[in-house]
Amino acid sequence: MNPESIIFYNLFIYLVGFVLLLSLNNTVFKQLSGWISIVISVLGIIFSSSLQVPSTENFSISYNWLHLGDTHINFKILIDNQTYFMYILVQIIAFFVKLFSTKYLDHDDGINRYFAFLNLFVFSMLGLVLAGNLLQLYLFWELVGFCSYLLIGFWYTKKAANSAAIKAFLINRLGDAFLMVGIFILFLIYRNLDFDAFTPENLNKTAFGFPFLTIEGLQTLAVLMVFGGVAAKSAQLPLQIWLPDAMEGPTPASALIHAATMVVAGVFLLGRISPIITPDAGLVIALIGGLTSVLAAISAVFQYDIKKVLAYSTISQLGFMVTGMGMGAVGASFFHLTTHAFFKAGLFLCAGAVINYMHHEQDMRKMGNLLLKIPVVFYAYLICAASLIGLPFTSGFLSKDSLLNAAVAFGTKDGYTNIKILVPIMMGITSFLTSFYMVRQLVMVFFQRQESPVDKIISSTKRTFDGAIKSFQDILNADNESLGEEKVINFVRNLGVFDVSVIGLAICSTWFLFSSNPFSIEEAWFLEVFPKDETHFPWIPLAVGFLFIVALLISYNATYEELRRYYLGERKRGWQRNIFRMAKSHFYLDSFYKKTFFFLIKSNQSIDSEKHSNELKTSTITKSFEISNIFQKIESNYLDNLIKKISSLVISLSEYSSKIDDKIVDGLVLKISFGLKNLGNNIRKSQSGQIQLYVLGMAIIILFIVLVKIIIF
Amino acid sequence: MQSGLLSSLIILPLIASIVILLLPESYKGSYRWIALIVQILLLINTGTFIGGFEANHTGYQFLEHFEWIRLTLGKTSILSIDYIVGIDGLSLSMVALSVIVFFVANISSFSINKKEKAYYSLFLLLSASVIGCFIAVDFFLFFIFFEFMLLPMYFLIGIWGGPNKAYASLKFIIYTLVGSVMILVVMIALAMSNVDEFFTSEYKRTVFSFDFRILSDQANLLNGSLLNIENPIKIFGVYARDFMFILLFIGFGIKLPMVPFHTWLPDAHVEAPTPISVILAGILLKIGGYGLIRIAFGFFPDVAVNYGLLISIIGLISILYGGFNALAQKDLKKLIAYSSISHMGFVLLGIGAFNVEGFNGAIFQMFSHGLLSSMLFLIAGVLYERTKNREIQNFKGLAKIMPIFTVMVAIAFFGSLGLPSLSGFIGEFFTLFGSFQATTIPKVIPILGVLGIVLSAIYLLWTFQKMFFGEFWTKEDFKNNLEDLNQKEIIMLGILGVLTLLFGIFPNILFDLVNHTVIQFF
Repeated sequence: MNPESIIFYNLFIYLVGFVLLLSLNNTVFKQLSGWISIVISVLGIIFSSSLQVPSTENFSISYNWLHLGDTHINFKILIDNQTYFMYILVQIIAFFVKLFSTKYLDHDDGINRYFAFLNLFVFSMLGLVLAGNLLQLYLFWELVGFCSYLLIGFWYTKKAANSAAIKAFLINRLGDAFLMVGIFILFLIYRNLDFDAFTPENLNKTAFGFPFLTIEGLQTLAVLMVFGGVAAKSAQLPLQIWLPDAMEGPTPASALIHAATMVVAGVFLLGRISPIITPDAGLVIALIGGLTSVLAAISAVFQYDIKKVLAYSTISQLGFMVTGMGMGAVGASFFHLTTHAFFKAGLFLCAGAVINYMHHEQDMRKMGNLLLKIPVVFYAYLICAASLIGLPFTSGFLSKDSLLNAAVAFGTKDGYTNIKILVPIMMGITSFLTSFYMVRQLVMVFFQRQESPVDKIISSTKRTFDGAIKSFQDILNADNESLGEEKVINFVRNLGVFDVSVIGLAICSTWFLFSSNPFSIEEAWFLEVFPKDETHFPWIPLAVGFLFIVALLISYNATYEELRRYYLGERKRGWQRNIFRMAKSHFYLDSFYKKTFFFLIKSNQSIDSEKHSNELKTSTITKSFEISNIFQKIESNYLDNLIKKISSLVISLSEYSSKIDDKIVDGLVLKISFGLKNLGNNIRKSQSGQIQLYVLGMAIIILFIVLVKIIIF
Repeated sequence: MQSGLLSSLIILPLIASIVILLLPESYKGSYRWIALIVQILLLINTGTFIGGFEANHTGYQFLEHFEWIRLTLGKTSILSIDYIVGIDGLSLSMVALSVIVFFVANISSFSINKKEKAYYSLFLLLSASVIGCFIAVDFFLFFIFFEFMLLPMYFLIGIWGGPNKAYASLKFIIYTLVGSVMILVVMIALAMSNVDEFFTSEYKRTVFSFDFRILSDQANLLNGSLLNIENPIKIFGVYARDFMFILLFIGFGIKLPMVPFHTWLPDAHVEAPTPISVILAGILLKIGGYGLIRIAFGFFPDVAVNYGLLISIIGLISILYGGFNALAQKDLKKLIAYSSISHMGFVLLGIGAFNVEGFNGAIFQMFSHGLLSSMLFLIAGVLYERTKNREIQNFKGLAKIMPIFTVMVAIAFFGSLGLPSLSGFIGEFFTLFGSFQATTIPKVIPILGVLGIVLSAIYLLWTFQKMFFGEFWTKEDFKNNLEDLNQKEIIMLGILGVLTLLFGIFPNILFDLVNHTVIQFF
C-alpha cells in the first residue's frame, strides 16, 4: 500500500471506532467496546508499521482545502522522522492504555463513551502529528484539547471532574488564542502557513503593522506567541495550573493524555517550528522551561496524592523537553519525549493499579507494604521510576544524558557569567529533586511499614537503613520465589491485563529499544536519525548518579520522618509550615489566578456547590461575574435607559406637538374658519337687496380700479 | 434567461400564503404541511441553482428582468424602476441559508397551535420577503422586500410571543424602521446620481436607475450630482458620499445588530416564539451583513476604505461587549441573544478588514452563525417547551436523563465557541485573519478580537457545565416533563448539526461559491 492509503485507513478506523462506540450503547456492546478498541489499536499499529521510515526526504501529500482570493491553504500530510516516531508512539501507548482500561473501567456504565473518546483522541493526535501546516495543526490541536476536556470530565456527575475539565479547556483556549496570533504573524512574515515554507528565502521583508520591530524581532514575537500556545498545552509557566487538576479523569486516560501524548503536542510543535526559533526566543523558552521544571519538581516533593506527584513530575519533565527545544537540541528533546512517554505512561498505569488495589484511595500516606501484595506492579514501577530518575540500563538514562549534555554545552558556550548558565543549573536541581520525590513515592507506596512504626522509626537512621536492606531483600526473595517452574506458569496464568500493560511499558522503558550500549548515548540510534549536539561531557552521568545517591539518602530518611509525623499527628509549624503549604499548592499560582484573572473559574466551583438553596446560588452569581456585571449594568442602565429616555422624549415631544396641533395649528385653522364664517355673516348682512347700495359699491370699486391704474401707470 | 425559476423562490411562498388564507378553517391540519411542502420545494429549487451556478463567473446569474415603473421626471429625465432578480455567490449563499433555516423553522412551528391560519400565512410571507431581499438586483425592489419583512415579523412576535410581546415587537419595528429611513434616503440619493447610459442614449433622456449593476459602477455617476466623487458638498460637515455611507452603515448596523444599536435584539428574542427566534437570528440578522457588503461597500468602496478602522473598532466592541453581557445572563435565550451580538461582531471585523480574506470570512461567519444560532435557539426552545422555563440555574445534570439532547447541545455549543472541524471556527478564524492582514487596521484590534473566542468558550462551557453536568436536579419538579428529544427535534437539530460539521470540515463548499463574487469588490 502507498503511504497515502495507509494513513487514510489508519485514521479512518479510529474515527469509525469513535462513531461506532458512541452510537451503539446496548449492554452487549458495552462489554465489547474495550476489545473493539484494542483491535482498532492493533490494526492501527500494523498499518503504521508498514509505513517506511523516511530517511532523508520528507514525504508530503497535499490536498486542496480552501482558498480565499490568492490565499491558498492546503490540507497537507507531512511525514518526517518526527512525525513517524510520534505516529507509532501514540498508538503503542494508546494500545497499552486501552488494555489497562478494559479492566480499570469494566464496571463503569459509560465505558463505551470512554473508549469512543479514547479513539477520537488518538485520531486527533495522529492528525496533529501529520499536519503539514499550522492551520491544520491548530485544527487538531484544539480537537486534542476537546478530547482532553471530554476525558477529564468523563465522570460528569463529579463536581471536581467538571471543574477540572472546564479549567483545562479554558486555559488551553487562552493558549490557543496566543497560538492563533502567532499563526497570524507567521502568515504576515512568510505569506504561507506550510511548515516547509518557513525558510529564510520566503521571508517577507515588507511585513507591516509592527512599527517598533525589525523582521528579526517580529519573528521572535511570532515564536513567543506560538510558545504561548505551547505553554498551555505542555503545561509550562505560567499556564501549567490545569495539569494537576486534570488528574480528576480516569487514571488510564491521565496516562494517555496528561502524561504521554497530548501534553507533548506542545513540544512537538516547538520541534516543528524549530528552524525559525530565533536565539532570543530560544533563550526565553529555555529559561521558562527550566524554571517550570524546578518549580514543578519542588511541588512534587510535597504532594501526598499519588497521581499529583506524577502530574507535577510530568510538568517538570515537560519543562526539560521545552528547554531542550529552546536550546535547539531538537533531537535530544525529542528523544526524551519518546522515552518519557513510555515510562510516564508506565508510572501512571502502575499508579492506576495501585489506586485500584487500594479501592480508590489516592493518599500515599495510607498505602505502604504494597511491595508484597502487587509485586509485578512494583517491579514495573521501579523500572519506570529508575528511567525517570535517569539511572543506567534505562531509556531515561540515555535521553536525560543527552539533554543534560546539550544543556551544559548551551550554558557554557558564552562563558560562565552569561544568563544561559542558569539553564544547566536548573536542570541539575531538577534532576536531584526528581530522584528525591521518586524515592519518596516508592517508599511511601511500596515499602514496608509497621502498623505503629513510631518508636521504631524514631530510634535511628541505622534502623531505617536496615529497613531498606530488608526491603531490597524482599524484592530479591520475591523474585526468586517466582522463578520456580510451576510458579512461572501460575504467575503467567494470574497475570491480569494490569500486569501485562505495565510490564509492557516497563520493558519499553529500558535501554535496548534505543541503544545497543546502555551507558553511551553515542550509540543511541535515535540520535543518528535526529541531529545531535557534538560536544559530549562524560562527567554528566556520574553527576546524575551522585545526585541520585544523595537524594536517595536524604529522601529515604525524610520520608520516614514525614510518615512518623503523620502517624503522630504532628503538624509542621512556623516557617516550615508556610514553605510546605506554598510548595504543595504550587506556589499559590492557582489561587493567585483565581483571585485575579480567572475569577470566572472560581465562580464555577462555588456555583456548582451541592447546596441547592436558590438564594445562595444567585448570590454567588452576582458576586462572581464582576466584569460581566459591569457590562450588564452599562447595558441596562445606560444603553437601554438611553433608548427609553429617547422614546419618552419622543413621546413628550409628540404630546407637545399634539398640543401645538390642537391649540395653534388646529386653533389657527379654527380661527380662520371662524373668521371666514364671521366674514360671511357680515357679508351676508351687506346683501340687503337694496339696489342703491349695490350701485354705490360698484361705483366705489370702479373708482378704486381707476385710481390704481392711475397710480401704477 | 427568463425562466422564472428564480422568481418562483418569491412567488411560491406568496401563493401558498394566499392559499392558506383562503382555505377554510376545516382544513386547519393541512396548513403546516402546505408550508412545509413549499419549503421543501424551495430547498430543491435552491439546490438546482447551486448545481447550475457557475462559480467562476462574476456578476449576477439567472437574471430575470422586467420593466416595472417608468416615471417621467420633468422633460429631461426618466426614473426607471425594474423588477430584476438574479444571484451571485454572495446572494446564493444567503438564499441557501434562508431556505435551510426556514425549513427547520417550519418543522419547529409544528408545535404552534394558536391561530394557525394566520401564523402560516405570515410565515410564508416572511419567507417570500426574506428571499426576495437576497435576490433583488434593484435597490427599489430590495427596499420593498426589506420593509415588507417587518409586517409579518411584527405580527409573528406580537401575537405568538411571550408575556412582554407588545413591547418587544414594537421595539423591534421602531428600531428597524429608523434604519430603513436612513437606507431610504441613501436609495433616493443614489438613484438620482446614477445614470443608465444605455437607456439614456435610447430614450434621449437622462434615465435614473435603481439597478444594482449600475449603482455599483462608479462610471455611471452623473457629473455634478450629489454623490459624484468630486462633489465637494458637505452634509453636517462630512462629504455627501461619506454621509450616505454612514447612513447605510447605521441602517444596516441596526439590523446586524452592532453595539450600540443592538438593544432590540435580546428583547425580541426573549419574547419571540422559538421558530421566529430561529429565523430572526438565523437569517434576518444576515440581511444587515448582506446589505453592508452589497450596498454600503459595493456602492461606496472609495468611502468604505476610510471607514474600515471605525467598522473594525465597532466590530471589536460588539464582540467583547456581547461576550461579557452573555456571561451575565441568567436566561438561556438571552445568553444566546448576546452571543449572537458577539458573533456578528466578527462579521463586522471581517468586513472592516476590506480584503478578500476578511470578506470571505465575514460571509462564512454569517452562514455558520445562521446554522449555529438556529441550533441554539431550537435548544432553548426544547427546554422551554418542556418546562416553560429557561433560567440556567434551574437545571442541573440534564445529561443523565437527556443524553441525545446533550450531544446536540455539545455540537451547538462547541460549534459556537469555535471548535475547529465545526463551522464556527472557520468564520471566526478568517475574519480575524483578514483583519490581521489588513494594512489599514492596527494589529491590536484583531489581537483583542481573539479574546472573543476565549470569552465565548467561558460563557458557553460554563452554561453547559451548569445545566448538563453534575447530579440531576431541577428547581421545580420538571422531571416528568423532561424527556429526551423526539423525532421531530432530532431531525431539526440533526440536519443543522450535520451541516455545521460539513462546512467546518469542507469550508471550500462555501468559499468556492462566494470567492469570485468577493474578488470583484477589490
